[in-house]
Amino acid sequence: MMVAMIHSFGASSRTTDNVVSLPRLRTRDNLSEPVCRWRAKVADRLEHLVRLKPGWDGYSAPPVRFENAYFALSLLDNLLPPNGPPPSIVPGAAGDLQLEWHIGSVDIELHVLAPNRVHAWFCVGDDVGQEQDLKANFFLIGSWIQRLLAEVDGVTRSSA
Amino acid sequence: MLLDPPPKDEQGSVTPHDHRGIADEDIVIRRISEEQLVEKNGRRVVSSIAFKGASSNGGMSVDIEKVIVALGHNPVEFVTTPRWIGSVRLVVGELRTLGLIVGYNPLPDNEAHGEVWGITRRPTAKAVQKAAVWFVQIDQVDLIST
Repeated sequence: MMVAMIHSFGASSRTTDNVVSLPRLRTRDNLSEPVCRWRAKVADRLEHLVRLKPGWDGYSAPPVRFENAYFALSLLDNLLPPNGPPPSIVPGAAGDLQLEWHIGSVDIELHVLAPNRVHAWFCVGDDVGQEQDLKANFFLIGSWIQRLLAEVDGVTRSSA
Repeated sequence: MLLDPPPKDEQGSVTPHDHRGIADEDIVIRRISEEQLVEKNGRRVVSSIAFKGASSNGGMSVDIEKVIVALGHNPVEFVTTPRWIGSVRLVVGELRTLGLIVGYNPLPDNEAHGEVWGITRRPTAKAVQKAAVWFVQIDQVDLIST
């Protein structure tokens, strides 16, 4: 039951198109939110990770903790635009997980140790990168995501 | 027991230690799960998280090769049974050079189990990753991004 809730928990109207005709307006207004292209894939991956069998790593690692998976999804809901690239999501050895993007010269790793405990790392090119332990304010990650999106745009243009 | 018993706390749990029965030239093997692979610029790469310690006691699990051999097992078969498709080998001395400690923590189902303690930050995890060499390679997977 808890596992199935990852898909439905916090499901926003992003995936619903509402067309509303407002009598007081002369024009028809479309109220629609962009379809979030990454959410289903991310939710599927998180559900898989919370279902991992204990010892999945060959030692004694438990599955990813549900609260960590839910927090990760919430974090992405708040930081990743609907058209953003989905992260790779990998489990840690203690119920933790890591969100990663490696696109072009930009690398981002968000190690979710617990809800509101994220060890974040960002790097461009051959730089050693910057690390931050984040607990309440994740605004910094938003600026990294913007840099990532610019890289995606650049990669897309160069391959066109 | 092939190595001296490790130190334990009052609850009977092994505490972090640098086991003197594990020499610098000894090899430890770290199993790599396919779940910990990520994509980087079109290639599959082992994630840095595979070289981070567990947050429970901070240790990164390994298998001590000489204990596997002493038990009469083939190391390659030991670390790929029942199905752990990849593994890397690390020289204990190189880990200690990074400021880490390598101990012995036998488990009921794995008498060759050891742990590496001290990997608390990403730079250290990446240093361990760079020191690792494939033992059982996962096909078309890079151990570290190039």
